[in-house]
Amino acid sequence: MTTRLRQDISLYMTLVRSRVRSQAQYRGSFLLLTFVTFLGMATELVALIFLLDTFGDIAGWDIGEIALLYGLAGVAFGISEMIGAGFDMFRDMIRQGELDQLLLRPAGVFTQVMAADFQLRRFSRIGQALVALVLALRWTSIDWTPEKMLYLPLVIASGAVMFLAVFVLGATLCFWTVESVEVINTLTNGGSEMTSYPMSIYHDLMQRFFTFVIPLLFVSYIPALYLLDRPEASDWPRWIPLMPPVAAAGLAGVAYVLWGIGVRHYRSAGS
Amino acid sequence: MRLYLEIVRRAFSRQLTYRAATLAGMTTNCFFGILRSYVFMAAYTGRVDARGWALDDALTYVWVGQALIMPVFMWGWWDIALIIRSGDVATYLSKPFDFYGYWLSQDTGRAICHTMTRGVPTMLTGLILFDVFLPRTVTTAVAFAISVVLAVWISFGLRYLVNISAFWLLDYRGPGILLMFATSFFSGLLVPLVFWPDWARQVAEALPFSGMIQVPADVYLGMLTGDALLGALAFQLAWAVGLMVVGRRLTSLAITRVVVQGG
Repeated sequence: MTTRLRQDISLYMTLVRSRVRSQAQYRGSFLLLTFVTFLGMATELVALIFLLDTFGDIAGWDIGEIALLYGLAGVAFGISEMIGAGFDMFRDMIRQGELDQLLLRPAGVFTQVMAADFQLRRFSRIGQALVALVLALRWTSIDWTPEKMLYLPLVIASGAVMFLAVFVLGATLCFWTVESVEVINTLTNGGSEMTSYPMSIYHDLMQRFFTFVIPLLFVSYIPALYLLDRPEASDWPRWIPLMPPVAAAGLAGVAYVLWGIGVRHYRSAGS
Repeated sequence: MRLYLEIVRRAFSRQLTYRAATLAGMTTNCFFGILRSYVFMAAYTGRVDARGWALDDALTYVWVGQALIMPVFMWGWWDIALIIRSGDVATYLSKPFDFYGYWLSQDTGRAICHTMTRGVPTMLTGLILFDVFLPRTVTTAVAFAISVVLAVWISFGLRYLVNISAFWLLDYRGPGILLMFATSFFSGLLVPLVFWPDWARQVAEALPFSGMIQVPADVYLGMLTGDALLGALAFQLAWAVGLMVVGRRLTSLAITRVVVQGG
């Protein structure tokens, strides 16, 4: 198992390196696109500031606290997109018969697909979300403890794994149908927007779905409640803040198993 | 004119064939509509009014915005840039129709189709799920229809400029990405301009982007009457025509270049 994992990681790195090398050929264009994307993404945060400036708070969360949710969700989503955007465009790979080529190669399909759309300019999204996170940490008065210091990176990693798992689930669906996988895509882009606000504002059914089916509430809402010591978190059992990595591992496991079933089920169109 | 109407008709039918994409895209528009509705419902807790808007105004605004995304085609459209890159543009230029007129007709047909297949169903979803209202008077409804047409033409004018930048720039994606972000921000799609601080709002209201979402939505909500309504439509018309003039001017410039390069 460990040797295979090591092989997979080194394969992924090799694939990514070659993609980075090809993108680095157009340095000017790359820098411009990254900068433009960063600038554009920044408008999202400005819009959020405008909204909170007018309303003061949303469900009792002020701009600093909302920015914390936004930053946690954004960094996690940005990292997942950076690592595994290949799953996001998997539908086109199936349509164009590229998957058949991958299957013929003596390497893991999962790893090959994951690295298929590595784009350096996605750093801009992570960067923009980090800016939001830094601002949030300045605007809120978090009572820092050693646990919380360790907690922050753990939560971001868990969130990234969670979003990556959703990307994989969406791609897995393509083995059976390439129609309307957009429903899952909604959960990635829409999910990062959704988790930028406190989960408590949504309809009961939505809250339940994003707790028990696709547990996105562990991406930002639960961690933020814990970091901010909000009253909602005061009577929690001790294990609740530790749920994000558990939920992420669970969802990732499910996604990986289903992916394996999908690969075995796949029959090419033969064209 | 008959030729251009035919182009509109054909673009319409071509768009109509993308059934699966329609359903998929609807999901996204509606999901975001639902999210933003809940955000406003939470924001309005304990207040009946924000800058003169009630909650049902804000909710209706959200859904009008989501319904307009596809008709005004906010996200990426590179058809012209691609034919410029491939050199096929020469074939188009040598055909006996007006280049700009051809593409504008094409886009109008697409927009009519998107209004029916994406705009109307999205709006219906909002009406069913949330406290969203229909236009309150016949005048409002008619003015809104005109405003949407103008919104599409403003959007086309901007997208056209970004596309023909491919005549001069090696990488047209930069201006394109910039346009996408500027549109979603300055049009008021992310946050209605009415909730912006005054200084920023004044800037945004002068830019063409506000004519793509904010103005049609204001018309729909019945925020504008009489002279203010005519003023808003005139504002949209001015931008639509202005962008068209600039677009055509730049096209002729580019064509002389294409000829110089030997086609």
